[in-house]
Amino acid sequence: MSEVIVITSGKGGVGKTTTSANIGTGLAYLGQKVVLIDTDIGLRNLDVVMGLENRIVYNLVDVIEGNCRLKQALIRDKRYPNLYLLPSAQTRDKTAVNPEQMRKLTALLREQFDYVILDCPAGIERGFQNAIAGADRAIVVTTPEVSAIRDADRIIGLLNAYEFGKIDLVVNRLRQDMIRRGDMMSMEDVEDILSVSLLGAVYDDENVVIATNHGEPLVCGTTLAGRAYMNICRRILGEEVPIIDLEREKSIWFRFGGIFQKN
Amino acid sequence: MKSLLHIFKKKSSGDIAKDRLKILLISDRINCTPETMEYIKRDIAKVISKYMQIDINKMEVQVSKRKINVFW
Repeated sequence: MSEVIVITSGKGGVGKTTTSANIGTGLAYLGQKVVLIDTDIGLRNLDVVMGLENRIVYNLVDVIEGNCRLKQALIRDKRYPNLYLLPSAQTRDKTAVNPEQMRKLTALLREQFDYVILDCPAGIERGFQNAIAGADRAIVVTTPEVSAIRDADRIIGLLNAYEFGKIDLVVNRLRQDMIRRGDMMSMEDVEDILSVSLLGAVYDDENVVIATNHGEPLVCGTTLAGRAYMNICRRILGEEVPIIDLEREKSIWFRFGGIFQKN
Repeated sequence: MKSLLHIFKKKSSGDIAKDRLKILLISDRINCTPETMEYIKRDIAKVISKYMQIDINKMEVQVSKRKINVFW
């Protein structure tokens, strides 16, 4: 049974594209057949985060307008044989596509893939309407900042108004040192304020920037953020994986526990 | 000593953010602007002051959603 997931946030710059890239890659790594769709027409970025920018021939708008066949526009990621990208158009704007067309496109892709991941643009206008049109579930990305949380709440309200079945939360860029000082809201605080289920928490990690520089998602590596994204992927597949809690990992009892396990 | 006092006195910025958000999201969710809240507050004050003396500046009005059980 295939699933169409939209990654959204309302506010820009909270990590939607990074999250999309890593969830898509992670699911492919775990053996699922995945297509990533960049729905941000005019401001495409998913291709460059994935390191596939040099392989674009056709794009989403070409497919919708019938300038090419769907298969021609799908870029196969050579590093992960199950992973495909449908890039967005750079020279058009959001009105080039409407929600009904997106619904048809996702229905078509659903037949060929296990997971269709839609990277939603910031905002609540046409681009957002397009991205959510054909989706079954939504992953709302936010950071522990008032502006991002407020926008996330607005997005959750809109998704509820559309009677969206499943809405999950990913809290991005948490900083343990600031949380400990009381200068940042914790993942529990954010979950409590937004009252949607927490799918994952990703700590602020400089490796995200490094991975983006290389155009290589970090989900398959051993970095802190990479592990967090892999856990999110496993949870999407229905596995029960505990959320990484740095406070607990740093505590002396946890370390002792680790020693005993190794022996 | 100073730092100890500091801890007791000052609310952490994380808590301030949480409190501000809680109030903000309530008004966002019911689509109620601060302006409307001010009007509601003024009207309520007007009604109450018909019967008793109150200080409108010390009055606080908050809108929240809550389940209420009604018995009769």
